[in-house]
Amino acid sequence: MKDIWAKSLVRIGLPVLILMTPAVWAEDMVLPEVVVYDFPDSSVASREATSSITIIDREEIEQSGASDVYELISGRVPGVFVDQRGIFNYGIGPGAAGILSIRGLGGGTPNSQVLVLLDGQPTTMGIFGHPIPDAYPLEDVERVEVLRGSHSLHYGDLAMGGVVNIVTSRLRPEDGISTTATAGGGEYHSYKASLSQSGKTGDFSYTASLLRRETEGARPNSAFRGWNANIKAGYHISENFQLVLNGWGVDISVEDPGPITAPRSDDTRNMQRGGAGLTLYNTLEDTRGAVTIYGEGGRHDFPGYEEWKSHDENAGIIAYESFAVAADNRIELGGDIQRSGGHGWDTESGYDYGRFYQTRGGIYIDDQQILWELLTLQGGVRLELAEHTDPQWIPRFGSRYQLTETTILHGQISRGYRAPTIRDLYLFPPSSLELKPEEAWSSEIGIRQSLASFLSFDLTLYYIDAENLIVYMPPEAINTGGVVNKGLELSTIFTPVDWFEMLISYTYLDQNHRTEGLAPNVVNWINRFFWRSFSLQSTTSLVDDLHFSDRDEDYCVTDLKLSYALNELAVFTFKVNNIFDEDYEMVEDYPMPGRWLWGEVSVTF
Amino acid sequence: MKKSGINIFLGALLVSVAIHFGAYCSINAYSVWRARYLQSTDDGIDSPVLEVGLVEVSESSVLEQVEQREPDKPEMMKAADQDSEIMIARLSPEEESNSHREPDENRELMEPDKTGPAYPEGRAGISRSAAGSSSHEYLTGVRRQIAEAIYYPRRARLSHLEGVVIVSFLIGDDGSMEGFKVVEPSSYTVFNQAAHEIMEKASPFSPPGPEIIGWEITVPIKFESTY
Repeated sequence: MKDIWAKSLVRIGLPVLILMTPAVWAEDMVLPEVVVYDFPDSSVASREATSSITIIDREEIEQSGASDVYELISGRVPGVFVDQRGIFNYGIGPGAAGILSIRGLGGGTPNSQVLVLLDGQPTTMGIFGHPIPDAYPLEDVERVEVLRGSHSLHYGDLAMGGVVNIVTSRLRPEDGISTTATAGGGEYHSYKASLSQSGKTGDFSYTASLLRRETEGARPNSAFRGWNANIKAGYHISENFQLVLNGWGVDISVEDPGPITAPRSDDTRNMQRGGAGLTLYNTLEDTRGAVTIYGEGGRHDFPGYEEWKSHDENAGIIAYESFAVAADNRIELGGDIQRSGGHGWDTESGYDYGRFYQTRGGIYIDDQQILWELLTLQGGVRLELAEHTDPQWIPRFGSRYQLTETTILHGQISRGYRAPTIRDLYLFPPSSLELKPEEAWSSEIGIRQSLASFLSFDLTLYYIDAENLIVYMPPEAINTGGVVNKGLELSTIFTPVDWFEMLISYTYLDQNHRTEGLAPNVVNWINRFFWRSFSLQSTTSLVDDLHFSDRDEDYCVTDLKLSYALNELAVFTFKVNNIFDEDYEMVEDYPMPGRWLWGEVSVTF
Repeated sequence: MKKSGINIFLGALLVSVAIHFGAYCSINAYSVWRARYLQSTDDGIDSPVLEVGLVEVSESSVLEQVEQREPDKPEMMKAADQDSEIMIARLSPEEESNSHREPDENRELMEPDKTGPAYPEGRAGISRSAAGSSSHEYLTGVRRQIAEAIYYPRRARLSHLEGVVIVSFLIGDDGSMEGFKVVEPSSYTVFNQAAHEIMEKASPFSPPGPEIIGWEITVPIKFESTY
């Protein structure tokens, strides 16, 4: 549809060819066109035709050398920034790293203005409304889909700054069993071991993985020990229906060494979380969709410094169905409902903060019309309802225009939304039942241009006007005026020869007031060289003016990774992190490790 | 939001989910019924058709003409008229959908499958012509093998490149691919290479019948970016 020249070739060129060379074509049998899509399984890509999307597939994940989803997307996707403070982990609770911001929206601590999904299901701490950074290793991830800007139309609450959808391992299409074992080790007594298996017999298929990571950390009292597990099983009920069960679990113990100016030795934080979902997919002639029932629960125990303990849950239903109502027109109807909350205690005083829950959800309609095979128009509206909040209408309009074979223009305007969390409404104080939801109007225009087969770029300009942002001003929590973020996102891909490729992304963020933990200029520069079975990659991150409370931090960090594929079954990787031994911080007063080495081997059988 | 509002909303959501379930179960049941109906009667549609992949051609189409002719006389086949049915066979699925057809079949043609087989086995209409069934089934199998071998070149995926490559080939006695050539290349060489590799991976095919040997098979392979 987007490729008008390609269509012209088939529609005009082929019949002309037939007429011009009848003697030859009389002997031909012409099979129908075989269409190859770059991301055939991505429902996000097909429903968000006018959005700014980045999809990173398994091949790119393996090339990247990243160890978790946050590291992957912050080094690859413009507009996305995540802070770090150590090896293997981000931590949990106050002072933790792993604050994900997209286009300047993230919410700080707690990180509740972005939504992270695991196989389309929210992974959110029920009380504070933030994602779980240490639950997203890359061992069994098939692809990561990043939507920048407000996407509350489809995803509702929390999807104000953007959405990250982590798709776990693809179920095997053919019968058989495949097992992959990975083991790695590095400085600071850091170890990693993982085992994953996928199999299929008849209509039943599954994947399962287990990951263990340990490190003593680069600073005293910064150890991390964690288990991650994932499972997915699918069963084809019929030709048109498939049932998929997915589950995940994480059990971590992490030490927070405290700021370098006031180090701590008693701050250990433990977290056990798990979730499961059951999805019924349907693919019929004119419709496709899914219904998902999911649940998630967690136990957080922060003895010592924070003296906090909590149990939290969230559970819900997500349903959508996309209908082809006419030629080049699809309507998607959907809805979701979620109940979340939990119970918190002060373990030092024994104070019980109480048990609180809230229900929220919405229904939406989204229409996508393609005109003249060149112009895609998309419009939809969502009705969002949440306890303690008035009904909210959330519209989204977008367009995408194929200007030439190599040029695409796109634009979108949408409203984002975040309802007050349990923490905002009830806890500690400061909290208030009078809080209004946070909201943001997000608009963007962009161009994607291929200058040649070896050079392409994607440029997007955005403007976000966020209002009613919730801040804690003891003794109460209030809605403030808001913030305006505008900026530019640029990513270029340069592949001049077979043995070299270069990917550069640049983010410019202009805020009307200074926000800690964000930087106005970020460049990520990736070079890859290929020679026989070797590949060498350098990854450089240049950050200018990362805002801290009383200063700005500039740094330029380069990692080097060398991989050797012995055959299709075994891959050896050697990595030098921070090769130039740069002194830098991403969280204020938490110095990052200097140069450190890492090696691993992965075997598939 | 008051409790009553939540209750109303919950009720509306449940009703909506129920309607969705009902709708697609009904559609599924209808499609199953229709498939059985078409298989059990010759009067299902006005003009009997023989389907090849996602394109339909009439029963007197080129495929059937091939089978009815002497396989060892290619000159006779060359002399066959380039009649309108041949043109129909070469229409793209989108164009084909504009011709007179049953509404539900039209929609099916508008959206080729993204991966895997072009369409499920045993679909209505496939075995409607006994005379054409063997070559039709064989070509369907060839196309399925191609569809199972497809991949998007990594760098093209990175750069969101798109293109169409039209290739042709012959199938030898033993099912091997012979005489592969690119009829219409893409402006991006990466797709031309990928099309060749896809065909190499898809072959060999099963040994063909005599009605297939000596005939050049053409297939457009379209690489399309999802977003």
